[in-house]
Amino acid sequence: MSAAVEQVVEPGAARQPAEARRGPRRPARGTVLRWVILLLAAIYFVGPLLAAISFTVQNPGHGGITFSAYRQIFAAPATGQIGFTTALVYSLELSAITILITLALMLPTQLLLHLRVPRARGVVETLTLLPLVFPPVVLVVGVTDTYTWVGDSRGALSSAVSYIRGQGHPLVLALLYVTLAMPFVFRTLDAGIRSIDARTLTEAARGLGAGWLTVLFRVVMPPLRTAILNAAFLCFALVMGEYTISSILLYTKPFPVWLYQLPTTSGQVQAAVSVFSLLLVEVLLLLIGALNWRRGYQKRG
Amino acid sequence: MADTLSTELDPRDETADRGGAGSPRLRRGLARRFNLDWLGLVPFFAYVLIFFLVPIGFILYNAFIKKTTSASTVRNPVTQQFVHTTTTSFGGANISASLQGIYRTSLINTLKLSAIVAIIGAVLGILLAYAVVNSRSELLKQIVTSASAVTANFGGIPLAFLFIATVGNAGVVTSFLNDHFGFSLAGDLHFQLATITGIALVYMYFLVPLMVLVMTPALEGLKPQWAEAAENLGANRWHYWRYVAGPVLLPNFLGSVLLLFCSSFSAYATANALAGQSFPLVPTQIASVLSGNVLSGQENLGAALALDMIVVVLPLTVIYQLLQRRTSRWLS
Repeated sequence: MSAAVEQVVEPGAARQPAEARRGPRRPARGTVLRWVILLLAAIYFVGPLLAAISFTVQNPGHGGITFSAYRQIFAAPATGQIGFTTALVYSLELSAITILITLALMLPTQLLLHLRVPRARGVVETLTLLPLVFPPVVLVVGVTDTYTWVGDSRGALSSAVSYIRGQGHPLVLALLYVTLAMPFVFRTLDAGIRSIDARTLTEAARGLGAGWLTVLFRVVMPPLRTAILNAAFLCFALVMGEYTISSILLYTKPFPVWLYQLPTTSGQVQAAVSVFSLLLVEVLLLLIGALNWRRGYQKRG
Repeated sequence: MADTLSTELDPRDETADRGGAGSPRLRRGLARRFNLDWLGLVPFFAYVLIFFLVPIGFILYNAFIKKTTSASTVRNPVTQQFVHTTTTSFGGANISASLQGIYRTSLINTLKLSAIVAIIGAVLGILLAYAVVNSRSELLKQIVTSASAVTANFGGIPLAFLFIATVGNAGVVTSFLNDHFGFSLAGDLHFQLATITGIALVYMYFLVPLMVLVMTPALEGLKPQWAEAAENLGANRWHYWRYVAGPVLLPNFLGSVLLLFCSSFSAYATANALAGQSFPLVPTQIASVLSGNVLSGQENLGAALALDMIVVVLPLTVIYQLLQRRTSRWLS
């Protein structure tokens, strides 16, 4: 044990001469403390995941291991109930709409802020930060009140809104999720636009006779693809996990709402779906991380 | 040539003199700058207005509107039915109702829970961040950073089920302890997921990683030269933390505590799945009001509760932003 600690300390001694001069005991104690902290963190963060996995495969009746909970996820739903695939596809559809609207709204706006109206930057940034101040559970109160008001107005607007809501169409939710995603998307795209020389690129392209659409799609967007991908992933994670607004507005199909109302007694299927959804998000995040890492490596190399 | 030019210019100059600030040339300059460039921002502003500012405006308005439906004794002369009159009055009735009874309890619960998890989460998070930043293993740093990014966003329903499967009534750890040691989490430790301790334990799962994400850049910004300079001046480890690193990190740390407080204050899904109505919190009460669990005439209570939340979160967010700005002066 002490030998291992010594070995860990060794390479650092060269990097931090000030610490090494104080003798070997001090850094060693710090190292032990550090490993204790890391170990406890690992137990707390990995433990529930492992426990949940073992919970989902245990056979309550006879003991032993069974994968019936995972089989039940994909089993055909009872009549009148929503199946796993339906909920997942609904949420995927919802996130695709959210990502499209968010990018179509934010990308041109932020490019405009950089290229033409830097004076408006402060106002726009503050507005995008507002959803952090007014959390989803507050926003949904306002949305309900707005619905009531629109419903009372009995105009064309009212019938349009009630039609869209009546269909259980994801559009209304997606429109709200766009505002929730703004704080994160703004920062991600902003960092991306700053890292490319958008002004020179657009001026060069315009000088060569490119139209604005060409500039947007063929000049500015390609170098921004990592930032766009990150922004899209943030939207995706947000939509896949959002429960507050969708459940209070009585949508039944979004993935988390579906997960919560699953009619099982043992809770095994819920745990199985939870594990599955966590792993899904984790794999996607790792993929995005790998893409970022590769790009960073290329830039450095 | 000169004549034609002057005749061309003349009328413009006249209008310019007469029109003053509103001269066509100036107006056209303004128009060009505003119309083309600012027009491009119209979709964004319109979107935020419709899908964010209007709903928030309704909260601020409805929180002060009390609707009273009175069954009047007046009959409609034709149908002979009683005429219900709905009167709306402007005042603080909803607000005061939202600060009484169960709503008062839920507000106190939420404040208490958020304060506890913010402070504990911040301390644990900075310890973990410190352990990771000072580690020499790049791989460990990478793993912890990516894992933090995942778990900080991993709230909601799946998180609740993860813990129910672990330390819930039939959870793996619960039954393991019970079967092998005869130790009961609920009996011997008074531990239940649907209590403040249980919810706090679960909230740590996304608050500690959030703290790690916020504090890691700050800890990495502590320059080794500062420690060396302090040591050359005769400072020991405690002096360094007390007079150099501590004050530099303090604004960031306090800001992060506020961030953690706000994010647990507004969390709804996890608390709802863990405790439902058995441990009342403001977000779960809002959901209950919106689903119709209120007395008649208290329909706007939801708006009042939402306003209560805004009153708590808004100043804290402003302070957080100010603290962040102060931090960026030193740690960049």
